[in-house]
Amino acid sequence: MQSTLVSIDETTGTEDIIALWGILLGENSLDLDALAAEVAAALPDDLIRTDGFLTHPTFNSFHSETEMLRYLRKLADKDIALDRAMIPLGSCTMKLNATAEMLPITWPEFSNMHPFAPHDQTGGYRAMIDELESMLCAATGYDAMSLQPNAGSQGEYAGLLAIRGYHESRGDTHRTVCLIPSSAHGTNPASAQMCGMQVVVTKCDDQGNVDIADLKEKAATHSENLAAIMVTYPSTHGVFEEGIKEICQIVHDHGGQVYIDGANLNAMVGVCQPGKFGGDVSHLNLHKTFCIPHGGGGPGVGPIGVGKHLEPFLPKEVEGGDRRGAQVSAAPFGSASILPITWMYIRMMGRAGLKQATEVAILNANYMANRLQDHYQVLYTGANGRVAHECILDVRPIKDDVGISVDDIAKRLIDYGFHAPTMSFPVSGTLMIEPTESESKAELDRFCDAMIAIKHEVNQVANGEFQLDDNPLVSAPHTAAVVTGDEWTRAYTRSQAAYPLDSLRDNKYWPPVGRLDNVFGDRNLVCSCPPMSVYEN
Amino acid sequence: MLQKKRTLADLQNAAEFIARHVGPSTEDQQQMLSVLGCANLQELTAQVVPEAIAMTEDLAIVDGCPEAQALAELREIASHNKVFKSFIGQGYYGTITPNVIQRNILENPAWYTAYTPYQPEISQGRLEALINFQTMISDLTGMEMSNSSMLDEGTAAAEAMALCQRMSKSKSSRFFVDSDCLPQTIEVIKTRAEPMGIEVEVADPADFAGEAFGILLQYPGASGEVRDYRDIIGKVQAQKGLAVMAADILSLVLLESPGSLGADVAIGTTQRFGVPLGFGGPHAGYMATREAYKRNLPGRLVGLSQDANGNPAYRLALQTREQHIRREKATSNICTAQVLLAVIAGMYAVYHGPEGLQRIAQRVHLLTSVLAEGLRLNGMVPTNKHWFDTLTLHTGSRTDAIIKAAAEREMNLRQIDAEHIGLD
Repeated sequence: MQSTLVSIDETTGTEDIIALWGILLGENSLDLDALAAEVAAALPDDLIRTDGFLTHPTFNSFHSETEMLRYLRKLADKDIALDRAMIPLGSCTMKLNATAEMLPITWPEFSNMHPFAPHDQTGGYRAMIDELESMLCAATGYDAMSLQPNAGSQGEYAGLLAIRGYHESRGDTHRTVCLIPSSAHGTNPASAQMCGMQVVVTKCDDQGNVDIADLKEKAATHSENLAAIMVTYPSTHGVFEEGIKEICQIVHDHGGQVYIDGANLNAMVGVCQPGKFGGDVSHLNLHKTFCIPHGGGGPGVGPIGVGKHLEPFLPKEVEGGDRRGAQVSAAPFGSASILPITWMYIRMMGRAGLKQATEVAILNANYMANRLQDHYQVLYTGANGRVAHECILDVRPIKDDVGISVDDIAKRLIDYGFHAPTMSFPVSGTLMIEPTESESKAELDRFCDAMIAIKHEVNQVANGEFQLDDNPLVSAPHTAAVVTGDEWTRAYTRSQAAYPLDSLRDNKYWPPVGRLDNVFGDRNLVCSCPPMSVYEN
Repeated sequence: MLQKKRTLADLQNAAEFIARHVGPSTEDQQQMLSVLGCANLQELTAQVVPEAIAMTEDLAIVDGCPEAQALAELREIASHNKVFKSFIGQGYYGTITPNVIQRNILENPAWYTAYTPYQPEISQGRLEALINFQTMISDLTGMEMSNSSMLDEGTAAAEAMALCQRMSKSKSSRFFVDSDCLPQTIEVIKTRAEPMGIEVEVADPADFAGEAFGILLQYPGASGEVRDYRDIIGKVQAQKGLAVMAADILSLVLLESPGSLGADVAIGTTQRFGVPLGFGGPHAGYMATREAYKRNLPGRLVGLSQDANGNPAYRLALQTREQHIRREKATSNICTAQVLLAVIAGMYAVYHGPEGLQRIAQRVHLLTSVLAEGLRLNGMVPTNKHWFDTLTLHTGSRTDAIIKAAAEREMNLRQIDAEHIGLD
């Protein structure tokens, strides 16, 4: 028996109800207002909600547009985003999210389309998606691309499922071992585990590169059951490993598939292609390399590119299509409405611009490494003493010799108006810096100046000018309330606390709170809006 | 300034955007290169990228173009989308994004260019916005705690299944799924279950019998029916299984909450709280549960703590749960969530408040009931006895004609072959 379903929502008007009657009943003499006056609710009596909700003042205070506008401004003013300063997070690729890229996502043609609208109404989306898939294939050297995974982690999961599907289709159901170098991001082993694979960790050498001897041994040991290797390129240590082709070859020789994690793709577009140098599958982070903004922690898009042999195992998008892998996201094309951002980026940059972006990303990282190398130790470099698109500063010697921690440096950067680099990944006690191609030389210099000034403050602790428990680093960040407090008993001046560089007097970010106590919060877990009484005193 | 003569091609500035996107000017690049002892970008790149893998050919991508041209081309492509009024539902609903939210959050780089709040001292604004979201979810679902968003309703359901398997004391490997669940949710559940060795049974929960470590119930169902699941939840829990309810966020304004019905986990999407349809995403999914399961709640969780001066301050709580710490012992690989969309949905609730939400929910419900009553008076009785916003109508052989008549008026209805989703 065929049925028709009708769902009503906030946008439905009374004229729509009348139109629906016309469609379903034909001619009728119904009077909507009369029915609305007498019709009974259709919820089961014992399921009618009786308890209150959203009683907190936050949900009962900002109902005029003026109040709402100011509340949103007040919150935004507390934060650092790319509209204030560079965010040099290694592995995160915080590049420009250009206005022209953002404009189309709110065009009604894109924003008001239902995911299950009939095929003949979605031609624009399909054309844009087809073009984008081709563009991304061209950029990576893969044969096919699925845009369904709506986060990088989902891409990893979908990519491993494709590998699993491939092995199963060949009767190799026993191929379930996944090799993962110890330097991998934690999502790699987590994704492998979710796909029912056994993770075997392979070693890295002192330079942070995959230990090829260990890889050979483990690939041989697990040859019979080898499913895949998951390797990040350039490595999580920010280096183009010379041995990548050999790594891919070893795994292929033992019947495994090569998963190249595309987290660092921003160092590769236009200069090398994972789909060509040995990868069978990669996920891309469109929210890194291809300009989708981070949104404070999402949305993301994590498409996967695959070689021809894996295409049938890509996530299913439509019934009866060529792609017959399992569906990983609720919607066929995942986060479809933000795909125009990437389309716009690639369209505007073109072949030359994309390559230039990669080259300047590498230039910016090497320029910073060069400026900072007299003050901090650059942990890893490649064959020619260069880094890739990011670099790791080793601050463990500072901790060992002076007692100032990576946390102290990260929090002190806030006083200088910067978001900290990535802390303690991939190596504990280090800072990983990725400037991206979008930051100007002036901004790179401003950040380097801050890092060098901080090193000078470290030296002031080292030479005894400041005590380890009373210096601008361990007490960072400094709030306006602290700096303007009536009492000041610290060993350093108020101006050193707030304006350690003169340039800050023109443009100062004031952190709204001092350094967070994580342990206190985990011991006293509160995960909803606290009563106003906590703000008293 | 001395004016030099330039060609038209030069003045067209086709590479305009490249120089807007790339930070250092050509002169600055030269200066930086000279610091590194390189003559040009190619020389530096050659020192960095191993020769064995370096591309020798150009990318097979067309040349770039200025912003205005790219926008015009995309406009043309977008014009091939025909946006009809949607009555399709199935987990995705029309919604009105308050303009003040669209302009000041969705279109505001202060919100959309921010990073995940790992550095809480510079993230208090978005952390407060997220705790608003968590409060909204825990209030509406009647659960003790909510995380700060999931990727979508389907993955939230799959994660809930995994949570049930870890936390339930049942030894069963069976997960029971209400046949009135959204079809895409059932698909994503099956994807996740297969490699984990979980046996998924899709059936009418009224027929629940035997053992299962968990059950997923849709509230209201995909058919629109609103069922009282108290007895079934009790039955599942009596044999040590856990109960998950996939609940429509707007309906919870009028309906008893999953928590009050005894559910262990509530999941769903907050799309219809001001987040545009967008052909399926991105939208913020949600998951809420009992505090007892806090260490098994996937995704990010914002909590209150205090700063060095003893003042209240927010930060991500219980981070040791996450995959970057637990690696292969991790139970979920979730990293990126849907923060921007969760912020929008939370602010939709802030903007409307409980009374505004009640007005919206009651209006949706009243219009649905008026539609149903008009149909009933003319002999077309919905097959669902109760509803919040969705009616199932047995239209039989007339179905195709109805769908076509609707399309002529630029309206989309949902058509199903009842057998496929297990209705009678």
